[in-house]
Amino acid sequence: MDKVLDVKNLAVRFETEDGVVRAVNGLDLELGKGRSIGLVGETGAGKTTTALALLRLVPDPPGVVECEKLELDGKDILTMSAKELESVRGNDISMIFQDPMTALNPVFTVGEQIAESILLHENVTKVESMKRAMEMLELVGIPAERAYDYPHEFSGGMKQRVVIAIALACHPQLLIADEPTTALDVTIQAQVLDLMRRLREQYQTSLIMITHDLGIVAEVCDEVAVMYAGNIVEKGTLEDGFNHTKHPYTEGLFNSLPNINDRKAMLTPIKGLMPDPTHLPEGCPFEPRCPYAGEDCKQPQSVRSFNETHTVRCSAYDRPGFHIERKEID
Amino acid sequence: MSEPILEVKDLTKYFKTKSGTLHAVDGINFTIEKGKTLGLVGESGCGKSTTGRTILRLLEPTSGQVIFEGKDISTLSKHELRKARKDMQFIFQDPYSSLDPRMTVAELIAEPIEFNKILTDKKEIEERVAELMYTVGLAPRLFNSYPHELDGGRRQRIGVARALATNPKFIICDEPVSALDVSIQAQILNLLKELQQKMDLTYIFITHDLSVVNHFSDDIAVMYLGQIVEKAPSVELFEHPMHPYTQALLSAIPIPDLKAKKERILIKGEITSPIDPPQECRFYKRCNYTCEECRKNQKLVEISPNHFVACQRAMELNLGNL
Repeated sequence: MDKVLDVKNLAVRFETEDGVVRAVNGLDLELGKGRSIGLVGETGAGKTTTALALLRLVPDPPGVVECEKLELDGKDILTMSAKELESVRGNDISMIFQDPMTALNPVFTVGEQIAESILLHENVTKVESMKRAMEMLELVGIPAERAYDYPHEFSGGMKQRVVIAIALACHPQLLIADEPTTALDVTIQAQVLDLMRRLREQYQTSLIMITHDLGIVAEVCDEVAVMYAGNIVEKGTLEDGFNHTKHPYTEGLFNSLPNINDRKAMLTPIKGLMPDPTHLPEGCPFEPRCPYAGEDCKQPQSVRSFNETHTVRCSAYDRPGFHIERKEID
Repeated sequence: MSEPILEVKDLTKYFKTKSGTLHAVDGINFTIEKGKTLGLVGESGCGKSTTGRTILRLLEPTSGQVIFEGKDISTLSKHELRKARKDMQFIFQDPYSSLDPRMTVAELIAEPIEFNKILTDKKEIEERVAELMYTVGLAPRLFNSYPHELDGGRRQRIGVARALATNPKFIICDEPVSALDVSIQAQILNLLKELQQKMDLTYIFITHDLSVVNHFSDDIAVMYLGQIVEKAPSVELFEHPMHPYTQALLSAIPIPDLKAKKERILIKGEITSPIDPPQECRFYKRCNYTCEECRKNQKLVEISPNHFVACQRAMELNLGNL
C-alpha cells in the first residue's frame, strides 16, 4: 500500500499556567493513497489538535509537539523549516475548517482567495491563476462570474464550497476536513458531501474527515478511527468499526444515538464526562465511565489487533471470553 | 382523543425590512393534545424558532390566534400574560449564552420562582431549588457554582430546572440538545422524556435534527419558508413522506449503519428568500416535480387520517408509497 500519511507516537501537550493539558497522547495513524478515514469523537477528544499537528499549526508556545515519525508522502514534516512547510501546506496537504463564515477573508473577492493559493504554489501569472480560480468555482458548482463577489454575498453552503475550492485548488495529496458540514443544514450538507466525494474520486485525494457524526463517516469514509481523551481507542475499516465494534466507548457512542429505524423509549447515554486533560488517569482514560471496567483497566493500555485492519486499545480483552453487549452484524 | 391543550390558528409573523416584508411565519395551524410532543423541524431560516417565540408572545404575532387551555393568548394584557406564562415555559438552545454568568446555580433557578412570586419565604425557595436540582439531576454541591464552572450538559440542566420552576404544563424546547455532544445529548433527551411522563408535560420540540425529533415526538410538522408543508404522526411521516421536500430532507440524514445505504435525493439550490415570496408553492424553485399547478399557493390537505400535506401533486406522485 502506498502510504500518504504515516504518523507514529504523536503527542501534543499545552503547557499552561494551570497545568499541562495533554491533548494528544501517543497516537498512530496511517493512511493509504486515495483512502479516507473518519476521525470520530466528542468535544475535547483531540481530533482538531491532531489535525493541526499534522500541518504543524499547533501554536508554540504553549503547544509542544512530539513525535517518532510524521511523514507525508515520504517527506518528513517534523524537521521541515518554515519555508519548506509553506510549500507543503496548501500544495500537498490542505485543510477545510468547520466554520465557512470565518474561514474566508471578508475584504477579498472569492476569486482572489482561490487564486492566491494557486499563485503561491505554482509558477503561473496572475491572469492565469484567476482563470484557474474560475475553473475551480465551476467545479464546485458556482458560476464562474461570481469570482468577483465577496464572501458576504454568498450563503453558508456556497461559502463552504468556496473553501473547498481553495483547499483543492492545488490538487493536494491529503485533505483534512474538520467538521466541514457541521454549520450547514442537512440538505446542504448532502450537497457538500456529494461534491467532496466526486472531487476526491476525480483527483485521488486522500481524506481525513474529522466529525462527531458517525452517519457522515458511514457515508464518506473507508476507515474509521474513534478518539477518546487524546488517543485512538478503536481503528479499522467501516466494517470493523460499525459491524464488529469492540471498544466499550465506541459501543457507548452508538447507544447514545437516536436510531431512526428503532424508536425505543429511552436512549442509553454514557454516564459521566470525559476526563480533565490536565489530570488524565494513568490507566485507560475511559475506565471511570466504562461499564466493563475492572482492576486490569487501571494499567496503561496496549493496542491489540483483531485482524489485519482492526485494532482496539482495551485490556479487558485479556479476560477470557470477554465481549461487549453490542451485537456483531454480518 | 383527549383535550387539545394548545391550538394555533392562522398564525403569522411578518418583519418589515428595508427590502420588503419578511414572511417568517405565514399562516400556521396546528393543535397539540395534553401530554404529547409536537416536533417542529426544518432548516435554518424556515421560521421554526419564530413560531415558538410567537406562540409564547416573546414576539408579537402579526395575525392569528394562539389558544392555550381555551384562552386566547394573543389578546391578553401584559399582566394577564405574565400569569399565563407560568404555565408556558421555554428551554433555549444555547446553554452557554442563556444563563447570566454572574449568578450562581441556585440564584438562576430561584429567579423564576421569585419573579413569579410563587414562593416568597427564603427557606421555602431554597428547598424548592434543591428539589428542582434533584429533579433535573444536578448534584447539591453545585448549589453555589457559576455557569462557567459547568459543562454544557449541566448548564442545559439548569435551563430545564428554570423552565420547571413555575410548574408549567407546556414547554417549548428550542434546539435543546444541538449544542451538546451525543453522549450528553442522550442524557438530556432522557431527562426531558422522564419529566414529561412524571409531570404530564406537553412539548413543542423545535429542531433541525431529524433523528432526534423522530425519537422524541408523537407528531412531526415539517416547515419550509414559514409554512408547514407536511404534518403527520412520527412513524407515518418517516415511513410515508409524501411532500417532495420532506422526502429530500429525510433522505439527506446520514445514517450510522452500513446496511442503510440508500438512494439520496439531492434537491437543487438553497432555501429561497422569505422576503415577499411569490404566490406559488414555496418549494417551487427547488422541487424536482413541478408543473403549472404548482404556481398556485398550496394548502394543507388531509390525505390519510392525521396526515396532512401541502402539495397538490402528493397523491399523484405518491412518493411515500402510501
